[in-house]
Amino acid sequence: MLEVKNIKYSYNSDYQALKGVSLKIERGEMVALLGKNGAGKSTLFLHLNGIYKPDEGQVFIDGEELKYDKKSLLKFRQKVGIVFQNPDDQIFAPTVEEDVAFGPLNLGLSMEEVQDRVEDALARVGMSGFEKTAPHHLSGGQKKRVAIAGILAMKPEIMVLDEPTAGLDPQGVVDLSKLLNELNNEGITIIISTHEVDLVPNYASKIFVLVDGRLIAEGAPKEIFAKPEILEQANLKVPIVTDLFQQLENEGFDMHGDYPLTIDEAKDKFLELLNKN
Amino acid sequence: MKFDMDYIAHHNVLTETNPYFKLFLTIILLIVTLALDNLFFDVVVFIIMSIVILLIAKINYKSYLKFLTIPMAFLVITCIFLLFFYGKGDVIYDTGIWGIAVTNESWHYALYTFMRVIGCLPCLGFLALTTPIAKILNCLRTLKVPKLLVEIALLMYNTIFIFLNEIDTMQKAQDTRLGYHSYWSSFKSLGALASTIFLRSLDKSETLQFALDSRGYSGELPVYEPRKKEN
Repeated sequence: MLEVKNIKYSYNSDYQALKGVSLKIERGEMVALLGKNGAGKSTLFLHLNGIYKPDEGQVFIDGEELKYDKKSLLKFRQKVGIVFQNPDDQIFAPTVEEDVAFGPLNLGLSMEEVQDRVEDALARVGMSGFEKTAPHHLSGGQKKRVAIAGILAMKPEIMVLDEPTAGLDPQGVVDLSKLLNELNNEGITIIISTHEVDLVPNYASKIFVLVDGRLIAEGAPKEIFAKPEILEQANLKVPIVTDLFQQLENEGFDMHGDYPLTIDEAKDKFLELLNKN
Repeated sequence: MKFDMDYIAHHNVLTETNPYFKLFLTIILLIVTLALDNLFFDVVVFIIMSIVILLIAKINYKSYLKFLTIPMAFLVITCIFLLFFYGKGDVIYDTGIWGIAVTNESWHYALYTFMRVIGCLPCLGFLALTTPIAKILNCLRTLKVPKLLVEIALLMYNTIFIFLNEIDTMQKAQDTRLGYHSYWSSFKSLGALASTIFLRSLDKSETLQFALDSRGYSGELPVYEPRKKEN
């Protein structure tokens, strides 16, 4: 589906932001890209739809190499939608509906089709009724949803979200996770960058860890969170429930190397431990 | 209370009134007021438009007064200068300082300028306070105003709020650390604020460009026509 081959990118001669990154994401997957601030996550994302052109390496989408002429770029940017971290960077139009319509209109669709898509996209993110509102009158969470609607309306195959939970309140985070899960179930491949490790095991089937422009690990959440040396390099921690069970193990409960990552898993494990005793 | 013109434009009785009507009414009234240059007419326009703004659009009188005070300050300063430093003719009043005097010509000039602006302000206020910018821009677009101008206005309109927010936050942060405690530190803080804002704007503009490009921006902002609601 999406393949990145040995991408290198420098902002200037002194600083190489990406030092040869390769990764492969299958259709319908929902993956998380973890890494501390400045690890190169955003830089990597901007390569996925050709905003940045790598110094070396290639990007393949559906087996097709990303080309940088106008026509190919439009095609790939429809397929790969990026939701920026700060919605203020993305939303520019004076009303919500005009902003959501921007992408579809650029694709050259008929006005009727665009109207349908705008309605659908706003309904999907729960923002119907805000069509005529000015974006600066919305709250942070609402802006985020409008930003996502703007990408949804382009009907992308892959959706890339740069720290989508940053700046959201807890309920906003829950709503967003739900929405992303729904979209993923409908077949959209989703890539999320984040440092919120607590949430990652809930949705991600695979984790990539980026440190200083290099991919140092990839694998299922269970594998990654079982490797303290990797987490340390990336300035990450295990999810808080996992931490609890690791400490319980120090108290003499044998976990057989299997630590729960989510609340659901933790509940089962707890019941199991209680029943044993 | 903070004066948020944009909020008022979105929330008053006349928000949904035909924007073309409002735009043309404003333009015609402006032209007539300027062309007639009649003191009596200026006052009449001022009164009528103020009534429209306050009683028909039901805009809070405090907000309206705030809208008037900003240009009014400029107006008063301008007219004082006109009064004392402009025009020839018979001297009406001599200050006795370096020959600065009010002449009948300067008096006439200052008075007419003042009244003309007084007449025009509520006309503009009527448009600005009752019509969301998005609607005005749409009107301009259909009226074949050059695309470039409309697009720049549109991008400016949105970014100006982000810009103001940024300034507000930074200023509070400086204030928290006593950046405006003394006269001298105010100057320094303001300078730092200005230069940081400039750099940050450059940064923001780059990110905006990336975001636009990500959604297939081709150098021209397409125009969306919302569906007409049937009911």
